[in-house]
Amino acid sequence: MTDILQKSNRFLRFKSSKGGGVCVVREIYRRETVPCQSSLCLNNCQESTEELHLLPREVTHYLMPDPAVARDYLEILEESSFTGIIFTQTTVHSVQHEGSRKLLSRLKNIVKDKRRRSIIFHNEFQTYAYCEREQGEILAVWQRRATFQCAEWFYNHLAGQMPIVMLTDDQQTCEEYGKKTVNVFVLTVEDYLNRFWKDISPGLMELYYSLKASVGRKSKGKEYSGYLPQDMLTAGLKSGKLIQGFLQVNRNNAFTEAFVRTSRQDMTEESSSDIFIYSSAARNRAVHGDLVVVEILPKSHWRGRSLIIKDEEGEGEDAAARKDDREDTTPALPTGQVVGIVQRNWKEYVATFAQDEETGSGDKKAGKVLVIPYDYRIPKIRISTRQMNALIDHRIVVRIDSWEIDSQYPNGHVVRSLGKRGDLETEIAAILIENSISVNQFSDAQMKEMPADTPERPWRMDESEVNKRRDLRDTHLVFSIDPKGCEDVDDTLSVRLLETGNIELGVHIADVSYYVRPDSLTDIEARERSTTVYLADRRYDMLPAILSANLCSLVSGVDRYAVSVIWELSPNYDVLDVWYGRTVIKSRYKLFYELAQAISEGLSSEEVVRNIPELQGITGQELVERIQELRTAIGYLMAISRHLKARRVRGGALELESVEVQVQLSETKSIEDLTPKEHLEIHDTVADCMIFANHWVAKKITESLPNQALLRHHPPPREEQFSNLKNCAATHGFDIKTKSNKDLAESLDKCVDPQDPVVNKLLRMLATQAMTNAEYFSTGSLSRDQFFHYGLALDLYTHFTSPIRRYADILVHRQLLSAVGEDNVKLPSNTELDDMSKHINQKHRAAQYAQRESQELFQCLFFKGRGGSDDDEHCIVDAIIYQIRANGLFVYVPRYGIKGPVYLRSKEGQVLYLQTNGSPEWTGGEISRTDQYITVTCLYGQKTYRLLDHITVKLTLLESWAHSSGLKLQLMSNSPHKSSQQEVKNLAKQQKAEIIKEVSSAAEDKRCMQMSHDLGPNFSELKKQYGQTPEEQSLYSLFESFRETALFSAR
Amino acid sequence: MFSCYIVTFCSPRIRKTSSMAGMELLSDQGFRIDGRKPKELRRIQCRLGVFNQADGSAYIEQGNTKVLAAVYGPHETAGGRGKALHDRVLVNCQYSMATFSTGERKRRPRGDRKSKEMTMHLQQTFNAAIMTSLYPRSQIDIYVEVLQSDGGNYCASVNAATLALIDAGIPMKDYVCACSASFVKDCPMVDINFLEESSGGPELIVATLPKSSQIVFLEMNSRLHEDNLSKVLDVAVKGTKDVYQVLDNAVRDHISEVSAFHKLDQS
Repeated sequence: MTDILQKSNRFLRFKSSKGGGVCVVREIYRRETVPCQSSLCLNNCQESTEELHLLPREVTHYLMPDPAVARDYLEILEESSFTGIIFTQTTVHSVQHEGSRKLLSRLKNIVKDKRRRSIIFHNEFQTYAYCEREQGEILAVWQRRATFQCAEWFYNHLAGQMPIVMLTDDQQTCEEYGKKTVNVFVLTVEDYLNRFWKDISPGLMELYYSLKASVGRKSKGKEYSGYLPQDMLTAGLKSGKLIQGFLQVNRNNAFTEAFVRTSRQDMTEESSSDIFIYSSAARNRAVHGDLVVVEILPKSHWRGRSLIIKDEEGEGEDAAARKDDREDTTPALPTGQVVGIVQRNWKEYVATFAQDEETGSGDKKAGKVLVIPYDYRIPKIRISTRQMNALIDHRIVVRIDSWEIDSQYPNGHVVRSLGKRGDLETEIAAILIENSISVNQFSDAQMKEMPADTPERPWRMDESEVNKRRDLRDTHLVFSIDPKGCEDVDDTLSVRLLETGNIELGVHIADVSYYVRPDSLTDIEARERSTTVYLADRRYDMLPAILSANLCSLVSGVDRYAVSVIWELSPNYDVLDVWYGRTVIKSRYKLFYELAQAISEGLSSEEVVRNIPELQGITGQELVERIQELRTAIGYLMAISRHLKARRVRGGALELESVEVQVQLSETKSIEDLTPKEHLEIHDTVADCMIFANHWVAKKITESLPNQALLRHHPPPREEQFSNLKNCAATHGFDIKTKSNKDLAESLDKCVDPQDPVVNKLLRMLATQAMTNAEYFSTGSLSRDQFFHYGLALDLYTHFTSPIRRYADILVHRQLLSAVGEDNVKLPSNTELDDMSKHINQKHRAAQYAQRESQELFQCLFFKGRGGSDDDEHCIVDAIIYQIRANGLFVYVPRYGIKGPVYLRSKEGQVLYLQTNGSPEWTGGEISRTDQYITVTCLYGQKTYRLLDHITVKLTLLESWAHSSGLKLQLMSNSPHKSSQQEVKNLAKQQKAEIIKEVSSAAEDKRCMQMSHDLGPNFSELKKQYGQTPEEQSLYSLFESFRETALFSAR
Repeated sequence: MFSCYIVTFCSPRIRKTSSMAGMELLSDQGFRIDGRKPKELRRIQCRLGVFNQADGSAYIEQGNTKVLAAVYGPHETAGGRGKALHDRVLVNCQYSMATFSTGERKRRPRGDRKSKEMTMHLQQTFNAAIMTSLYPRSQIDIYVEVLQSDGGNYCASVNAATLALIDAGIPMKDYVCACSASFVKDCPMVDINFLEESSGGPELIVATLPKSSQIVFLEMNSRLHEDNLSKVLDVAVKGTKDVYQVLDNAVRDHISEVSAFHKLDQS
């Protein structure tokens, strides 16, 4: 059979790479015999007999969707009850070029599925089934015309045996073509479904309407609306119509919920100044941390935030679309939308490819891929990479470049890879980058600034410098109390009785500012770092090791420079006089907390000598005197600080529980303090001395630098933050007063349940959560009444006592020394200091987050591989309910200090009920909830969970591909865990330290194993065979020795 | 067996493929992008004697590839005797592409690397086909101009030049016919157009003396598995035979036309 081919040309315009248009002519050959693939065909147009007659005989009609329908409603056509669909070539092209590659492959899958009995018909190669696009004809109109032409041809080709239904979305087309040919129907999708499918599968209509709605949305053409022009923003901000602030995305519901926190100046305002931003459309391409301008929506559009505990594991879009019910939300908040962006705060983000991202396939090499950032709050980022195969299971660093108005996701690029996900080093690097902490080595130039201290040239004090300072080396008994094994000792104490009967108390702090001159390279670097970062298993120093561990460290037995605060106290502990200044000290003893506590409690002299290396080698009367001297000193010290604390507590100081607060409020080395120990009185003693010193230094610098002193304040918490605390306390009949810090402290003290020691701890922890963060500030930028420190109940406070690990302290040292006229360096002005304090605050927060995240990381690693069996004692633990949410509980696990959600309702709407035999079961049922309890009702019965109830939960690792892994808490029993009662008390910290130790050693083991793994068991044998000969036998060394002898003889 | 067998393996040409990304070269029903079946040639139209001043000339269209060829000679070697060959004729070719022949305007119509390469290939091809020993110390010039380019430029040029040589009455062993082929989805495709050429698949170009099935030129671009080579080559050789049919018809038509015209003239 020979075809008669007709040739015609098609003219296309493309965009060339240079941007101009290119006219391309393509020829098209048409023929009369294009196989119709129908079993009804009379013309025998099939080429070979093997080919299936795909289009069936049995259906009532063939379906022919026009391109627009195929693009928008493909999902309906994917329904398997549709058979006998003819996709024209025009349609396929349109799906390919106007739709997406994904859509095309879905279409092809329909055709490939032989059960669907659907085909692609090459109408454009058929002489009569095709019509040329006319000059100026609109593309969509031509596509519909071509589809109809094809439908008509098909009908005629099959000699009228089978009616054809052409689907379109255009009413006009229906009218125009509908009556043209008998039995070639032109229908809209809605009409068609109504007529043919309504009774068979009513679900299709639902699908249609939801698709139609999404089409309507798409037809806007743009994903987001544009920003207002700059002048309108400025005018709007001035008039107060628009509000400026930082966008904070809600971590637990990142896809839909965000808040705009109005800028810093209004920090004291109530939380009502927070503006709620609902949905990503209203967020309008702003990313977490951006400084944005928002417009408040009319009140009718306001809505509340969701109370459902969101499953963190992704798929935000679906969840957001489905859960549109308003019942589980808080009362409506002021809601707004972003209308402009003042400043992007895009930084480097850690991201990972989606787990199921298909790799390979050659033509996809340079394709665009979406990566999922580590931080839930950052949207997915579209990048183009050629290295996807290599990086598929790596964590990569990504930067955002732009966010186009018509793009759902921002565009970015890959910066570098951090390594395989799951590796300890990679995960830690990810944590550091996420918190913008740089941990580079100190540069050579910086190291050159440092004084040298080598065995050959030991560092010595400068005589002239010593003469300028007050010399306390022989007059005072100076000693330090620190955690065991501490390297960077930056504070020491001294106390003695004066002849007048007054007491002299001294706090001596390492003189870091002597070594770190303002604006030196080290200073700039330290400012940049702002703080030493303590992670669970390592630390990154702010200052080079030569300073932090050597010259600035006030270890015993060596001369060191210091800055001292020395008070003269009356026997009633009233301050009579205070002296600030530079000193030279020689610490007599380096004690640790437990020892100091033991000495105060009357440890025998032999034990003391055994524990203090400095005392060894001294004998006789001198030894007795020395020990007695030390005992008295510690005794005095404890007496003083007891008094100081009592005075502070009377003023309303809070005693709060949990690790977080110790980091924030207490003055000792609590950050390093991960090694387990009980809380001793001596901790408070040292802490109170430090707080005392900080307070008096703050007084001094505020006095002499009223406008540019660096202080630290702690704003009072917002009243409504306490609601959860109050709810919890009320269940046990306690009343929490939150009017002032004093009321709060007193009412917290009363909340003691003799049966349950954890209750008080938990309540204190909740109180901590309600607190705002303490922050540094410059005195010139706030009014006097805002200087107050809420937690410590002090009117002035600063950080002075840890200059080795905090940059703020270095600044305070400089200010203090200039205030007492000892050092004349240029001090930062108010505005400079304001900027610096913002920077330091930010860095401190980052360091805290990093620390917490690294601890969580270690926790997760600890639980990895555990929890498989039901009776693993590590994983079945006691937990206390502290918050009720719409679909579950938040619980606190005292044993590990973990907080997390326990779901009572699954995503499918089933509820969890515990059978009488104790096994949990998911079943149909309902959940009702009030502020204080939540009730699960189902067929088997009813169970109520109240706040502060003890339950037993099982901890398992919730592996996450792109994000940090978390822990999953599953309800195991409604009663407290059996073995929990006794040991719970102070175990939390201990466990944490154990976990870290265990995981680090495991990682070490793994590394060792990898090293040896490559070699294999029969390595030695292989080496004998293939390896190099031992040195003494090898020819190489023989020749080498010849060469050497030759050289010798030549000489 | 072969009178001349030139095989050049070139590195795959780097071309822009972005605008045609995702195009399906061969559909499941066996249609190519332009509606042909894999074994179908593009439409060929040709004319001989399009110019009067040249000794021989021809115009050929293969699909949208349009080529003009003119032949001068045999004549004395231009530019002194130094170049002349004492035992055979000097075949001098010049290949050029009109600036308007491609989608984007070409900067240099001739003398760029591609054109020089093509010139050399033509020269080699026709050295093998013309009875060169008949005209020692003389020269034949073949000028080829591509007016529109849509893939298979070499093939169209060879075919056009063959017609022009026949028009000039230069003795040849046989027609020289050229055809290209590619290999997509396990299926050899003959006479590929620009889109198919630029998709990055293998491309085999062959020029034969169709009556004796002798290959005078063979070129291969990109990678192709050894096992498939014979299949592709067979298809291409078959293509040259089909081309031969078309050319031969055109020549016969032309001759009869011309002789009729002459008879008319003489009478």
